[in-house]
Amino acid sequence: MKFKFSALVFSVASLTFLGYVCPDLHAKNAKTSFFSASDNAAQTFSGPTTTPPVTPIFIPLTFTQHLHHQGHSIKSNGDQFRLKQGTYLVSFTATFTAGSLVTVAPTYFDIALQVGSKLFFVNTDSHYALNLENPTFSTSTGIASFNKIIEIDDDHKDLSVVVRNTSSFQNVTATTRSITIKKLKSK
Amino acid sequence: MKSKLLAFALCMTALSSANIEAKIAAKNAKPFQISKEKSAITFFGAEDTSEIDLVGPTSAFTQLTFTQDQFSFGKGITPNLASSEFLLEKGTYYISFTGTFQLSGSSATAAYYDIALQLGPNFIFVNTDSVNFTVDNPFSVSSLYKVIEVKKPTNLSIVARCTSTGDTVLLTTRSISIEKFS
Repeated sequence: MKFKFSALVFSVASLTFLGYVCPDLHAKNAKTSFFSASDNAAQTFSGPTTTPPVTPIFIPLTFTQHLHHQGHSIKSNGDQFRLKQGTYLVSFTATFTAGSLVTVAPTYFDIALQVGSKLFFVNTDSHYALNLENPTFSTSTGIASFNKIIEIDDDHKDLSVVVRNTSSFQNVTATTRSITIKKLKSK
Repeated sequence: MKSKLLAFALCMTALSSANIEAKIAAKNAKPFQISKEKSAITFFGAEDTSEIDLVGPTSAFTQLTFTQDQFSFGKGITPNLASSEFLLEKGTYYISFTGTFQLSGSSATAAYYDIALQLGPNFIFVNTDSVNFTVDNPFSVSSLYKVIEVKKPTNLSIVARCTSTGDTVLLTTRSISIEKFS
């Protein structure tokens, strides 16, 4: 009788391990990793101030507020996101305001992604620069958004959303902005 | 004695079953990676930087191409050879698009352009934006996001056209992301 009981207990224990522990692990893996953050601290990007103009370098946007995340694939240090190997969907939205220090003219600025040292997906937007002393134009502010799927081949890579202003003697300021990074697939 | 033997046999069966499972798992060495693949999302993503001229005025839409940096996983989203049409199997999909549109030339008036989805023969979700060199924005980053339902295998395209007389809108950097929800 003791043997029967032991066998029964052991069988139940084995089945419990095989049938319940493993599905738990599967369920954990089924969760989608994501990271989202926003910011509304004004970040101003100055255009070239020399003649001939020297195009400024790209500068990362910060995302320090309203951080939400799930999983361990994406970590943030404010303006860079460390991503593990895999494929990710990156979504970005921001309000940009153009301002002119000298005249009223279109202001051009580039928004791009930087992974490690590689710059890619360079989009160009423009706003009509508002003369700061005579603010008569209403088209100086606009929203720019993008969605992009990226692949991280190495163990870890740092991702940033970067901006540069290519218009001489004019400023572009990023105000409200958000980023959402969603892991689509592990490597 | 019979019952002891039966209990022993049952115990050995349970032990060997657990042992076999463990050996299979160890042999495959990737039991959790398999589950990760199962949990991955079906998607397709691509971009392109080749220039497309949208010459106005026209009522005809131009299909946009996405030939570079293509990433995909799962079944149900198949690009054609030109990467301008994507055959979607039955299901629900989240479509997102971003592109840089630029006024070609120096028109003093606004150049209007439409961006839409083409699903089979139908043009849906027609959005209108504009660029203007003199008093507005010569460049514009335009994006669209849309969930669509496909009831039978259907081709999807992102299409655009310039509707302004005498204007040309140039499309450069662009990307498409298609994510299957169900």
